[in-house]
Amino acid sequence: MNFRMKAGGLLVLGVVLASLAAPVFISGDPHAVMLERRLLPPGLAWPLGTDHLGRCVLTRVLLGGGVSLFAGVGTALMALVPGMALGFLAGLVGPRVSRIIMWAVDVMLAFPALIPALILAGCLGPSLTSAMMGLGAVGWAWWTRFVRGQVLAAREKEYVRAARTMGISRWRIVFYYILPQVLPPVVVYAAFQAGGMIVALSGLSYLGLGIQPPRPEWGAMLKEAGLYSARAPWMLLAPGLAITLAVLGFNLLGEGLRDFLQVRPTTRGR
Amino acid sequence: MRGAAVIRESTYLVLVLLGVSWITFSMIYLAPGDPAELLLSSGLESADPARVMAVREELGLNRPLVVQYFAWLKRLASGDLGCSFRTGDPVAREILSRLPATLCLAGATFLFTVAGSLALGLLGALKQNRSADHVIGILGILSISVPDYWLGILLILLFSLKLGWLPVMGFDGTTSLILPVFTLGLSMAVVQGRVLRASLLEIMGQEYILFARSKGLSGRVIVLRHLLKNALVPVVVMWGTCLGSLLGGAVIIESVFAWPGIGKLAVDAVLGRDLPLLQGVVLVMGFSYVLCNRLADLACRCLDPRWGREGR
Repeated sequence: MNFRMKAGGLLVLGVVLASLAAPVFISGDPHAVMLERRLLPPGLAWPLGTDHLGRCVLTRVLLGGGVSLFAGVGTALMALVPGMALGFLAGLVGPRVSRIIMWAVDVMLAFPALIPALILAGCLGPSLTSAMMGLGAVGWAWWTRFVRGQVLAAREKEYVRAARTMGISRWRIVFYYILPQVLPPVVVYAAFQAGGMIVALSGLSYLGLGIQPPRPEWGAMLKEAGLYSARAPWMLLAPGLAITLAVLGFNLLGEGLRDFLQVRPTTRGR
Repeated sequence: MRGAAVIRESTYLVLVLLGVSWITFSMIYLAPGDPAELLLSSGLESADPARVMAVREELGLNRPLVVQYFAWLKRLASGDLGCSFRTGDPVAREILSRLPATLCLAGATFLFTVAGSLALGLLGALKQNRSADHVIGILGILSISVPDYWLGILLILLFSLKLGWLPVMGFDGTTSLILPVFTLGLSMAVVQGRVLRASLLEIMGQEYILFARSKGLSGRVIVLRHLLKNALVPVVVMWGTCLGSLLGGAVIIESVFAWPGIGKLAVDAVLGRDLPLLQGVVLVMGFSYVLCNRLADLACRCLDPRWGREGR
């Protein structure tokens, strides 16, 4: 365990625990509008101040963590599972099927990452579901290309060839010889992607295309804070710092895991 | 052999672009409800059934989907992207009117990113494990962890509202470019700088660099001709992706800075449920992204003839 892994793991754990524990400690209705205490600066009663509707910023940041974190990690998994399965398929089957899969991948990757989410929000209306589905739609394609590359590289390794010549069954080779080589880089990039998805989802919410008010979410809170940034800068700080800490945690975890599992950064080829 | 490869690659590029256009075309059918009805109903009023029928006939919505797709492609080839639901103006004209702002921002950000990544990459590699390298490393992980739109808002708050040095938002002269370019370019420059550093370090250990050094070549010649040229390949790929996504409009950052570009247009189209406009914007974004990635691929092949041989 290296330092970055520990630091990243602790950060992620801390943010997850804080947002899990939040609903237990919060008394009263977090969505209640109290205009007489609107835009109050941080103080004893409101540690991080109040927002334009008089709601406690700290409470909302903690509650928002649940949505931001779990939707982000959920989207990353949603992309990873089918993407990895298809990547294995494309790496193992013959060139014809592989070519069709890679064509679909190239078409999906032809859209900049946020665009499918914009399309879905435009067609189905803005919601957390359409944002997650849109991000997942590009995510799987990225994973398929990545995993296929790893599988192709693993297949050419001497001992995999040796195993094949020895007549070991196909499935056994896939699960005992190829999978163990593909998993470490997948774990590393999954950590990075979880962070990326949290930023992307919060960005969509910031545009008003993700989660809809009054549910608290970090990006949506920043959208509201942007309108009051000159009068109430504290509204801006807490949600942004929360995103940064959570994403920093995942990125540190990814970097630490990369060194720990000795995954070479992909500088060459794709 | 080369000719055959060019034909094969171009066919594939056309196939990918066809896929992109098919997704863009069919998205209007993803939306619940009838496109003709969507077209006619403005806001809360629902459309008159007789007119819906007429429009369906006029737009050929009664014909099979594939026939409609090819009719749409044909119109597309003549530059006709349809008309906006909202304003009734041709989509092509709206996109063209937003193009200068996006081109300016994309160009400036691209230059900033390229210069920044070269400087940071070379500095990191030549001063490996010294304090400058560590600082860049820490900056790198911080810059990819801070959401860029939040950084943008903070910069506006500091430099425009508190200090009053720079314009708050909008596209108005060179000074208005500074904040959006920095916001967009920072993380890209740092990440690409780190990739360049890794690639440089990998090549520094190669025997031909040792050979060049033992021949007595000057440090500058080695760095420029032998190191950089070979180390650039993975970074050029990222530059292509970066330029492609910028040309399509930086969706979130353009909204933060109220930048009158294509990215902002896309968000407005989504929020206004203006599907033809969104279709046009998405098409432009997809095409520019694909073409820039393709260009980067070609550039890599010039730098390193081995590039792209494996796979596919």
